[in-house]
Amino acid sequence: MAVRASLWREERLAHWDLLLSAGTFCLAEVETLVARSAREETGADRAACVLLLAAARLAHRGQVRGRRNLRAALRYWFSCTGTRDRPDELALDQLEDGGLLDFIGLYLSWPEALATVGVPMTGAINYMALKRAEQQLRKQCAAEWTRLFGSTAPSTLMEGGESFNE
Amino acid sequence: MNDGCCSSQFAELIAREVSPLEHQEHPGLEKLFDLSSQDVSSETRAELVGHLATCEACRGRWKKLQAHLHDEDAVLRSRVRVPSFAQYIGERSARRRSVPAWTRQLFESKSYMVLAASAATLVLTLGVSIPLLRGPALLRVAELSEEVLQLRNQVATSPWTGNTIASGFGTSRGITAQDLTTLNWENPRVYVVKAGEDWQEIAQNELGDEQLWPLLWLYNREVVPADASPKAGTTIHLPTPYGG
Repeated sequence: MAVRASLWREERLAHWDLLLSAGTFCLAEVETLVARSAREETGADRAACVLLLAAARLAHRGQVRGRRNLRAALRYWFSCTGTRDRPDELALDQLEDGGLLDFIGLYLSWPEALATVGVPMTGAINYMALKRAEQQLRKQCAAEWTRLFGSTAPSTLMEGGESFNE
Repeated sequence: MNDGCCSSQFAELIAREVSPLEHQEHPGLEKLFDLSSQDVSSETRAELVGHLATCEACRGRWKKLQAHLHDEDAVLRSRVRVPSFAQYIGERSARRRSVPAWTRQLFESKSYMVLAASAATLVLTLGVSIPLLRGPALLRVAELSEEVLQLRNQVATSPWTGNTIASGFGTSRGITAQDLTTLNWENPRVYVVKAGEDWQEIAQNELGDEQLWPLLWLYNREVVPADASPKAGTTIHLPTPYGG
């Protein structure tokens, strides 16, 4: 079971990579993966499945600005993972087509994450864009959870939810 | 977290997604190279991304490889490409075709420029002086014109003029007059091109100076196409060294 969970996680990461790079991703493939794995997963892994499906759905059908903000938010969160590995001079414009591996460990600030999706780093910092992306994602997660499991989404996927650290 | 905003439960979920996994096997350098070059199928890419995202050691190797490739690319881009001889001649011919022949001659040969300037001065002088000079003066002007015409014909047909033109050509290419005056261009000798020889080699072997190749090329432009090196077996003409 643990091996299968690891394989599913790696499979999810491949889809995250396509979502981050704005590459051609297939929503049907994400749906299949989630349908196959979500019921067998537990706790945080199950929540991660739902999060991927919600993000894929929003990236597939959302409006241009919403999709852009979502991609920036995902890049921001993924950049804040792994061991810090950030070059002295970071060329943000070259990250426009960057994938998952390009962002892990960069520890971008929110304005930098926005710059990677083409929003210039001038004027006031638009934290509202991040908040809106979070809200949309939370709403979509709740809908996907209910659709998949027929129950209300757990607090782990809602604002101020309990920590996943066990 | 970087600016205090990366604190949502999503950030936590995502951090957990890329937390390290224990892998039994690791991709070789060749596969990492293929990934960097985007030379992998979507399935292989998916496998590699899944692995690298959850294996810090492999991710570190991949990032180092990326940095090396980036540096190498920068070096390659900075290198100036040296054109081959055929390219040089081809480009040169294209440039030549793009301007009228008389303009080329005017700008390439200083003697033609001097001639053109003299002609312009003469026309100007005549244009101003003819209305002023009437009667016997007109006769004098006609005689003068005749004299100028004779002089010009003499200049155009004399070997001295040929040498001056060649000298102007040579000077612009670093060929000294000394190089040219040691060669007799009036009585060429026949030379059959050997396999693998190009203009520079012929100039070096037969005239003792590879810098003279443009003159050989000009000298034989009726025989050898402008954008090619001479083929083996082609008969070309070479100047003979004076006293040689």
